Amino acid sequence: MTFTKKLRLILMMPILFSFAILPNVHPAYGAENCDSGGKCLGTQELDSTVSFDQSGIKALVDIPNITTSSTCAPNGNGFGVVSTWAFFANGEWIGIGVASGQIDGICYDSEEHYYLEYMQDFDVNEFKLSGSPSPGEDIYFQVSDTNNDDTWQAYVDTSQAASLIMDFDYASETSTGVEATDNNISVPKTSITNVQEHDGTDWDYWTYNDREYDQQEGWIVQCTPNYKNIAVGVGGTESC
Amino acid sequence: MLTRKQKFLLGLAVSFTVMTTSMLVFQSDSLIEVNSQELPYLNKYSESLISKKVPPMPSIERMYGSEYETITDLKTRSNTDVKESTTLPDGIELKLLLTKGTPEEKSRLTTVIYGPTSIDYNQLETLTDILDSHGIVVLYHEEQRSFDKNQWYEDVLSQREHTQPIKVANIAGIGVAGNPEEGHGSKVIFHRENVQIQLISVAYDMIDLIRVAESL
Repeated sequence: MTFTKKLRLILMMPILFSFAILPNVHPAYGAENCDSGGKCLGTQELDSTVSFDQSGIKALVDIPNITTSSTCAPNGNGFGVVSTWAFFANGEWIGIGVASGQIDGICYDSEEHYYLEYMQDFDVNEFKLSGSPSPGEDIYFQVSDTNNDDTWQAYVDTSQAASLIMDFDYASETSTGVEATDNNISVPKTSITNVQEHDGTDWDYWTYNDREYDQQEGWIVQCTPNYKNIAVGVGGTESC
Repeated sequence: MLTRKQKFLLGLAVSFTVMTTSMLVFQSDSLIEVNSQELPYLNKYSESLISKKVPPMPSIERMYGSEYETITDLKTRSNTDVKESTTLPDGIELKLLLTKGTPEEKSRLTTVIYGPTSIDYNQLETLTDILDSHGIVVLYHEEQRSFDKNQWYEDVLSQREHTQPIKVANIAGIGVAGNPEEGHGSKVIFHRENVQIQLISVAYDMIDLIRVAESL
């Protein structure tokens, strides 16, 4: 080995050493990519205006033919949902919509089911509600506390599916969209229309929304007229 | 042209510089390791939710609104009697002051966030990140005039299995006792006149939160 090669070696070692340890300098304190839960949902959501406290959200969903495998692959956890959510300042939330796949540990395949989920006092709960809508049906989903008494109701059309006493009479944020646990879950293109929020007194159509998430294969696009009409899907091509 | 000796000296100088830089980087990494040991519940909240179907949380700005520099600014904007806790756990400091709504709107939600001195909370994006980072969130929520506090306390305690009656400086409140080891959060709620004060944390349990609340 010549002197020059030795010198190169001397120079290279600390550089290589530096590169080896540099990636560890910035630890990730929060969940990466998959947002709050660490569960890597392919998610698309639109969220309403930042300015106002909201006492509810409702939207008309064209029920899609959600496709999961007969065993709810992968690992029995395959799941897809089109839903509307209300988020509270303490991190709690309520969502209601239509789902297929694994719900509360049981694999429900081949049909769509009304679906309720919520977090309260740091516990996450999910339920398959009674009734199985058919693809193509138009169903209103609603989460709201329109009389501002902190008791929130979740509705499938006009049928009350849940009543939950929460800590607030307003949500800090409402959203609607599609989620799937895996890219193999198919949620064919469908529409969410007449998206409305309750301002504590009346229902109003969304006049603003913000495309918050764009993960994996899920997609969401605004259609005409903007804000209150949306198309969503997991897989397939984005279009209205 | 440099002589062989000059090249050698130059090489030594460069090596020394790079080595020194590497040592500094290593040192800062070691500090973070020490901090990680002092903050044993980092990311526990996210880990507890891995097997759950959880929708992505909105951003801190969308949930809590605009940031303010001082408690005085926040009090002026929100017209809420916000106080900085003087009974914080060791190593915890004031991080963020927020309230929702445009300047023309009445604000009903004011938020004060505390966290470890070693973590830059301006880098965090969601409430989940805050709870993952040993944060304590204090929410000041103005109730509606029609709100029946006694009925609400009764309903919550009877209908929500994890809740229990507590006292915060002799004021009746509601607590949820979580478990930091399992990433299960704790909660303390009490009222001062028509304002609900709610504290939440994952790293600090209900007893810690009551202590923080006692000076609010």
